Amino acid sequence: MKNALLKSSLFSIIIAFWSCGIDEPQIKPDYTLAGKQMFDKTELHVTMLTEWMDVLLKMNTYIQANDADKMKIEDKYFPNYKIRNNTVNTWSLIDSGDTICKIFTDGNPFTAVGANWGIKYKNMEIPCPFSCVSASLWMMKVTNFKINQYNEDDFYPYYSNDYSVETYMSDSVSFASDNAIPEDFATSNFELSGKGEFLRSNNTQDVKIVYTIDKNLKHVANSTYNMNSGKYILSAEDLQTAKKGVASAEFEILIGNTKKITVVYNGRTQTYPTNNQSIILN
Amino acid sequence: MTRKLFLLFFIAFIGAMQAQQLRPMGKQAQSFTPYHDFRLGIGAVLFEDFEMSDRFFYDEPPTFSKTIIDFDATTTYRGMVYTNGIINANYTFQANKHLGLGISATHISFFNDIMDAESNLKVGTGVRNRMAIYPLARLTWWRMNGLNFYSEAGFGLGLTTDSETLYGVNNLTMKRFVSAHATILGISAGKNLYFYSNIIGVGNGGYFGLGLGYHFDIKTTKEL
Repeated sequence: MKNALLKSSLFSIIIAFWSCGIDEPQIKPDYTLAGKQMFDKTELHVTMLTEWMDVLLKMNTYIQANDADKMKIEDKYFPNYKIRNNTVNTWSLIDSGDTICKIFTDGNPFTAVGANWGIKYKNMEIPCPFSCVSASLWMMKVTNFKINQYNEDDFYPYYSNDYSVETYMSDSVSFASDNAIPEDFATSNFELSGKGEFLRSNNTQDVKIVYTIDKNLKHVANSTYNMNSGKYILSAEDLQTAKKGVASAEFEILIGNTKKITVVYNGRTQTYPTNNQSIILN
Repeated sequence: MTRKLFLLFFIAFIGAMQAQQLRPMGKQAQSFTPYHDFRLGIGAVLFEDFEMSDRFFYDEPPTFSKTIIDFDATTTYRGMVYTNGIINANYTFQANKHLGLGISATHISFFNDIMDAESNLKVGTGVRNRMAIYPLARLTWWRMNGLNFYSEAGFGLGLTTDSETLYGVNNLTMKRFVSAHATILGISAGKNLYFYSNIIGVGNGGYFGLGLGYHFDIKTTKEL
């Protein structure tokens, strides 16, 4: 009997302390995801502005060129489009009979101080204004500017994998270049400063993102990236649920052409690409 | 790891069988004395046990999201999930050579640490306990020289408790369920103190189990 009790006790102790792992630890979550998403959306927004600026600069180069060079410039900058001068100061980019955008000039070169130009894509109600405020410095300023009405069938031209589109924006952004007459955005150095906000919507959320450019966004001529360095202060609010978040995001291009983004969201810091990521899409 | 441990136990079990003094054949083997039977053992966890749980074993979040800004993104992650296996305790009254009736109780616990994703420091724990109790019927269908082959089955009630403590705040939820277990093939070997193994089983006792049993003959108890 004693022997049996001893064996039973020993067995009970073994059972009590025995354990084994049955499932591996989870992969770390992206704990600053909201901040990174705010950054990505803001990058998308700023990229949109720089693309408009780029079209205006290219069109200025085309308009200012003499007739002999116009064909070369059209082939270089607008190979897929036809350029039409609708009225005296209105130009259109046409793709297969479809007017992609219109450029409204005031008759002055876009690089002349005081020039007021506008660009209007078909998803806009009115042209977005750009002004040359001083030599090598342009300004874009709008308030409650409607750029797109949410429509599931029409994401053109700025959509992302969350099926959202920008619907409104208010911006005050300046573009400074070290080149007085830049031919386009890509081949000149630019610095962007200012602030703005925009509304991004899909069928589940309406998110207002407010950004301030804390360190000038620098574009390096001929870089593969739209922006090479800079810092944003960001805040976002879901207008349907009133959920909010604040973040900052600083980025730079490292040797090897990797984009390093340091995101601080709700006091937590993380650098992208993380160990789980190998590619950051620009 | 689990498989290696089972293999170890299984070898020990076979060894123990070899070491038993078998009951002599004859009159004693043919007569039967009712007895009280107690067992304590451990069962292997069904994989479904943790695959079906969404609290501690949920899948990795999808990389594609329709959320513009995910304000609710998680900031913690769970560490390795451990279990101590299914602890079984049961009692049966063996009324005759073949039929034993009694009751069985099982308990299993899953536990893991919860870490802060930024610092990797432990900020909480998750514990799932599952207890089941059910009446048990055991059919011993072959007895041979101290070696018994049996089947058993039972069903009853169970309770699952999920306790998650995160940053010092505890969140406890409980859920009842209908418990059931069936052992299709089980073997026990020995005298009063014996080893047993549920070789093929399914249910709250685990798909495989082994342990120690002890039985008190009724006559012996009365004499005491």
